[in-house]
Amino acid sequence: MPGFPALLLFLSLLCPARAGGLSLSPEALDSLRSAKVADREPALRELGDDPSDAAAELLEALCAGDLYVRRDNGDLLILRPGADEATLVPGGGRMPFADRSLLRKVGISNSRRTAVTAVLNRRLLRHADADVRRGAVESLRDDAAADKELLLSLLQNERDGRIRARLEQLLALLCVRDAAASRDELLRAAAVLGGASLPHAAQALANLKGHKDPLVAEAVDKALYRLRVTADRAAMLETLFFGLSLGSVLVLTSIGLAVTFGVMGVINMAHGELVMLGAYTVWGMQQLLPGRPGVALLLAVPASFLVAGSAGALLERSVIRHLYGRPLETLLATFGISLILQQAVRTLISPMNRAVESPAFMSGMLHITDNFSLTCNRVYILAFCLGVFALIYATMHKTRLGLEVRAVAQNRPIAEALGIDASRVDTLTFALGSGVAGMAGAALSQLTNVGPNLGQSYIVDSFMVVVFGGVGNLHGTLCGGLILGLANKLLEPASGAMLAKIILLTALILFMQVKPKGLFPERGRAAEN
Amino acid sequence: MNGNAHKAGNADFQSAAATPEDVRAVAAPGNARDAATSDDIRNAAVPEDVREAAQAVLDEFAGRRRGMRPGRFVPGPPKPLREKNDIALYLEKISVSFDGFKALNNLTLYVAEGELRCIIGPNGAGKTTMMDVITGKTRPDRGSAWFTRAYNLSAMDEVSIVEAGICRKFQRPSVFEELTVLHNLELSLKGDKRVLSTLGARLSGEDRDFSAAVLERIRLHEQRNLAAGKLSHGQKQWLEIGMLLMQKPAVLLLDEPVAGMSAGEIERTVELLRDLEGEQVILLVEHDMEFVRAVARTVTVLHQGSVLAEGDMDTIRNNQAVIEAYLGEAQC
Amino acid sequence: MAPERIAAPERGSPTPAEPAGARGSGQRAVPAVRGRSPAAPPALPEAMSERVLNRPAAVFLGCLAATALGVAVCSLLPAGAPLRLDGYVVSLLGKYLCFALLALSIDLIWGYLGILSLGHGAFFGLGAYVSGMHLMREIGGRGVYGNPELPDFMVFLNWERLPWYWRGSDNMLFTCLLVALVPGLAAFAFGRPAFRSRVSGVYFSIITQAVTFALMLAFFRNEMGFGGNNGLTDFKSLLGVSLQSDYMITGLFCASALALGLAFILCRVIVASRLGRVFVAVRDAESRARFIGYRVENVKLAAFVFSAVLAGLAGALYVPQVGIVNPGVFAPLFSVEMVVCVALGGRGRLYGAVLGALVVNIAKTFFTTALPDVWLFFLGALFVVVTLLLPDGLAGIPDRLGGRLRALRAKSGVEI
Repeated sequence: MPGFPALLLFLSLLCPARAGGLSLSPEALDSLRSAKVADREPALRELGDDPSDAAAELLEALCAGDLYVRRDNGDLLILRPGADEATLVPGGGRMPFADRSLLRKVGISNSRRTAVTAVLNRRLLRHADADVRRGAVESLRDDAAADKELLLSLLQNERDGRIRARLEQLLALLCVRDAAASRDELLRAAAVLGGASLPHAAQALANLKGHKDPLVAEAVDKALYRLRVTADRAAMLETLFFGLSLGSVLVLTSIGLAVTFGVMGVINMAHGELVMLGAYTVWGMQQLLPGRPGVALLLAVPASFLVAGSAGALLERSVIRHLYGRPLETLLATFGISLILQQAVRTLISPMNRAVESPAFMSGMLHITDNFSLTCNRVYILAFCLGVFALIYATMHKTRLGLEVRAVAQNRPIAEALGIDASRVDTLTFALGSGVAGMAGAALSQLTNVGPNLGQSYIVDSFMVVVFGGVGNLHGTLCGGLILGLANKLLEPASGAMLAKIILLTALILFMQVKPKGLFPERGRAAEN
Repeated sequence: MNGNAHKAGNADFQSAAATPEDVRAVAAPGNARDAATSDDIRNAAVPEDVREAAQAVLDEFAGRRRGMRPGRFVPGPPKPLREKNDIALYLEKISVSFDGFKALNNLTLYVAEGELRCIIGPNGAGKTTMMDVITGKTRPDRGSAWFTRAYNLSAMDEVSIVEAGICRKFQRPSVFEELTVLHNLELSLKGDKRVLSTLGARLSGEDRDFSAAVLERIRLHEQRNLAAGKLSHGQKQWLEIGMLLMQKPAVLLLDEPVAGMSAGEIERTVELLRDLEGEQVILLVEHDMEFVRAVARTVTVLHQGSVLAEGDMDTIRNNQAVIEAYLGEAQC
Repeated sequence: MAPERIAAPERGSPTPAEPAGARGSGQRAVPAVRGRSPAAPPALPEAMSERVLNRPAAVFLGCLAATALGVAVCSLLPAGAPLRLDGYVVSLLGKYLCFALLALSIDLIWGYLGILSLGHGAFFGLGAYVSGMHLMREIGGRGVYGNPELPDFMVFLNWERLPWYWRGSDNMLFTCLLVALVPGLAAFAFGRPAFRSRVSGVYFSIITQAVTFALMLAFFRNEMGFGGNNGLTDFKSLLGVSLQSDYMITGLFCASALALGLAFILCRVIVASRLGRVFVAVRDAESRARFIGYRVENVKLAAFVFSAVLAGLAGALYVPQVGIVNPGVFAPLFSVEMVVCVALGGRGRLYGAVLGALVVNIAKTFFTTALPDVWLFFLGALFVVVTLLLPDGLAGIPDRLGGRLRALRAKSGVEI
């Protein structure tokens, strides 16, 4: 866990502890009341010497911009954002307070804020809670850790293994930078830094490269090699993750197509626009629920299914129904519909991209190791993709509807003879596929711009995924999408984004010519016709 | 025709006491496929008549090799080795499976020159798959299919197989509905079917006479300028047979030719087949037992992808295994 | 009249679906289905005509020649004369003719062979770029940077010398050769493996769309050496004659008309030959055609390459009249627009494609200047209306009306 969340955690622990027992000289108080940022020095000096939690809270509030002075009586008080209770400084008494127009913020210069944050952080180094301590140590970025004595004393009192390792790494970094370090110290430091994940470790080691002592030089080379391997591995993992993430997006946009095109055999070029509708549903929901993007997003997922699904049902009833058995005409008609939908969004909403807010739980990072972290929204979308896939797979293979869909797809007259209302099944299937496209759009709204061209950019890719995976089976789409996503991201570092796309398209076109039926072809007499 | 015959054949060459018959045995499919055999033939010190036969085998072997490259080789049938009652179609130990379902299971079947063979069997017995294998539509997973001794069907593509003289009528009548009957026949005419020659192709007087003769034979003379899509179901079946006849085929594969025909039409089809019998090999898949009885000399029963019984109609009718296979399907 | 929905089991199959020939289903082979097979356009009498210049073809060629002659004469009248056509209008008409040629090339393979290419813009674009390269070289030292050797955009990108593929582009004859060769070879390289592995129907359509999409991405890149985003433009002259001069404009228009007329005759020759009947055979029953001995893949490939050459020719004539070529010609929408031209005009008639291209592009010119927002609505609606209500296109309307009339007359005759 890195410094920032740990700091927040610590502060939340601090909050109930009243800023009581704080004594400040009138001079310090006046310096805080002053309108000039440059006047704060006396207060900062006194607070810096004060070991109490109250002083820490005051400093923190000052840095966060939550310290105010009342224009009428000159009282100092801490008012947290959104809170309707203020804490008096000094004294620590709490009182309800709502009229912010009476207050003036106590400002602080940026350079002082950095220094104060460092001081505050240093206090946390000796905190009783190991997690808080670790957070503080980890946020001791190497440059700030120039104080060797402090690190040594911390190391002496520390029991927690991870914190000790970190402290040792910091010490090693200091040692490597120290021109006067002995050979043994350097050797030990190099060994420690080889396994370290400090951003400056490689730089510091590189400065020692070609050290006059051959033993040290060799140790440095070894350590650098280890660091490079670790970094490469992290980069590889990141590429893989981005590949999977892109793959999940491809799968999401293609599952619906796998149902309408793969199972029903209807080629729907307006599929991308159904995705777009889903994305706009999220935007619309956020317009309806301003200020609550999380709730809006959660509500928008089923809503986008309904919106896109009913659009699909309408499309099937009005147009596609009349074109069954004429795939090329279906292709053209749905292409026309995609143009109409795009232009409708342009005319009715805006030709520009719309901003969709990301709720708090979607933003942020998930840290796996020091140099490998995942963005939360991509993790959620990967999970969402797998969930949607499981849902569709279960629908197609475990429910009555799925059975009827497959029956109609395989032999329509016989299915009808058995009493299945084939035209109802057609509409439902198409609505299902379209609804899934809408959910894909809801997910996409968290990754890309929501605009009239959103769907267009995915339609060719989606068809490629379905065809690559093998028409008529869902797991082919899953594999196909993930493989294509991974391949794209693996190619990208070497060739650049656009060339990677071109290479992939070309490769796919070639693949299709070798295996026109995709990765998982259907065989047998039914497939021949 | 197995490994032993192969060895025996080679041994005969080495002993220099070979007869023409031995040479032919070597040339049989499954034997003369490797170059070593042809070297054996070439190097053997043999009498003149044997050498001649050997040369024929060599030529044939070369043709077979070239025949594997699709579309380049249109040889005449290998005359010197042909005799009455020679085998024309060899299907040996053929297996085809679709996703675990065995459509053909170790099927072995021989059809002689000029024979009219009926294939019957319950649904799913592999009749159509067998036709697919012969025409190159499906590649066998195992086993080999040969037409005479010159063509390894399992290594040729569809068009090469057609060029070799094997023509097929589909289970559902398949004609070019928007073209006239005459145009349908014209397209089927035997000849150079490459793109540029087709672009410049004109009907010669001879071609016209031939199509007129075929039209008479399939009784569509009156309708010759009608779009094929306007024909009745039975007429389409005939037209398709006519299209096959235009190619002067050596083997006719007819998949359910009388399906959907009226009794009168079936009767005339029987006449047509009787008429054709002896000119070429006819392989007939049919469900209509009356029709089969009317035309068939030898009947083969397929069941679950292999041959269940073979013989004349009466033998088949009384075969216990056949009755069991058909039980619940139809009483024949 | 909406086409009846069919109850055939294989709904993805592009070939006409006959009900399964199982016992007893023969009686079920409904005449309605037989009369108008759903996947293919209805019986076209012209499609089977063995005469190259049948009546519609002769009428079409007559109209084309008369229009071309009229426009040419009017454009060369002295300025101020009452019937004089402005250079702008003539160029616009020339552009329409190029689109008509492109539509014709699409109709040859779609209408007769059933191959729907959603990427024919790619071949058009290749031809266009080849001719654009020649025009670029003709600028010579008259460019902004005055470099006699390098086109402006290369000077701008600090390129030292011409890439190898620009060599020879200053030669007119070589360029003419390339105009046919480049699209033809591209079509061959793409079509050969595609047709051999029997990629057909919608799969083929989607792949062609992917191809043109990939080409568009590629041509957007500056590194390709084709001017990237901006494409090739600022042309000055052709064969030493200014592109702005009346003679050049009229000459290019006449060349487009001539190319369209010749291409039409060539297509008629093909369609009226036995090969044309093989096309129809392949379209309607590919498997049957293969099993009577036609190498379907070669037939398709030959038609595809020929069609691509025509498309490339159209592109080559388009560039000097429009004055610019950019990666937009590879945009999938452009190709699909051309396809809808063919569908609107009526497939499988050749002249229908020309008619459709003219109607759609005149409408496009009107809408994009007068009501730009409405254009995509109109185009989209056109797709839907044509496929649902006008499967035979505009050219099919007289036939349909005639058919109705005959049916009515026959009916009343029976009643009397």
